[in-house]
Amino acid sequence: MSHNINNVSNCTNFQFSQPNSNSYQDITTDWVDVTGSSIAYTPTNNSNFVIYEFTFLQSQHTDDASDTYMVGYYKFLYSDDNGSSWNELSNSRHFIGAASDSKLRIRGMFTIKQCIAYWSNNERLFKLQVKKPSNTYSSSLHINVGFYDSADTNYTDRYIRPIVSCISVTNQ
Amino acid sequence: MTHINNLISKKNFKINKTTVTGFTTPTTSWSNLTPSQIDYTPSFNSTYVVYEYHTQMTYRDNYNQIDFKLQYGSDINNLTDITTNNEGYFISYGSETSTSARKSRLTIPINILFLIPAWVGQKTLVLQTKIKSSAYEVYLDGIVDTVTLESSDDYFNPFCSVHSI
Repeated sequence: MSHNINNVSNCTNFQFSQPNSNSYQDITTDWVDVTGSSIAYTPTNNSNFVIYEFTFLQSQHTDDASDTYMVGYYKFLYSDDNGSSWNELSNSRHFIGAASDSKLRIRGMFTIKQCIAYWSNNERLFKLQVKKPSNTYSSSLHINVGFYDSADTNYTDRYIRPIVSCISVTNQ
Repeated sequence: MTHINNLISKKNFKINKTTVTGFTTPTTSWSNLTPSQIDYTPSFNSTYVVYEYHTQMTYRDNYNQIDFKLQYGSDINNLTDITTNNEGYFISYGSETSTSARKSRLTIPINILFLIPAWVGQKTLVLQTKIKSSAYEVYLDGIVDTVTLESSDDYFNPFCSVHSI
């Protein structure tokens, strides 16, 4: 029988941020930065991994009628030169929605979580980019669109501000 | 029930990340999801173990449905349910067919989190998966190019983590 008697946390240097104002973002067919997903992070020295986490709302396009379907295609980028150049983390893309002709109208809060191997004790920038595969899709971020309350009122001011965080983990 | 889960309370955090070169294709029988396997000894005097698993699912059939259940045991060959009927440790993702005959092809991130009462000594934890039937096939660990309209499939390196609180 074994016991782990290490009662000290090996999760360190937690950092998070959230925009200080409301804004929404319509997804286009070009890769663009996801607002609120950027963070500059310096890991704990000699840790093993950094966990990046982004929680946000994906919803219907702000200009659309009810017959479109919503998707978001996400890639995860990092920069080691303060944003002068960006690289994509290998095997890290996410997709929220469904394929063409499905008409799936998925909306809600989602979390994208990435596990990044320790690189050095130097600052690295992270961000997500998003696009839609074609104009048959239609989506927005950070705002509830097309939701109706019991009085059938369509509110357009129901924002959800995204939250981004990073934490260092040292495996034991 | 509320737990204060600040940094100090997250003890003995452990991560396994797997590099994949293709999709995982669950079958109609329960089978171990290898990247989700992790050996773990809770911290002394901890109350719970938090288990997480993260990947991306996509469709193989027009309707896709997958079940997950968390198992643990003294090793990978001696697994048991954590509770009767896996209550609290069973989760399904996906969609059913509909009368409108529209295809679902659900493609979403998978973020699984289970809270398990802590134990003494080492246990092996692993998720087991199965699909509803051969008509509801799922790919794990990526996105098919018919969803993204890119020139090739995307793969996702899954990872699991455990920590004590």
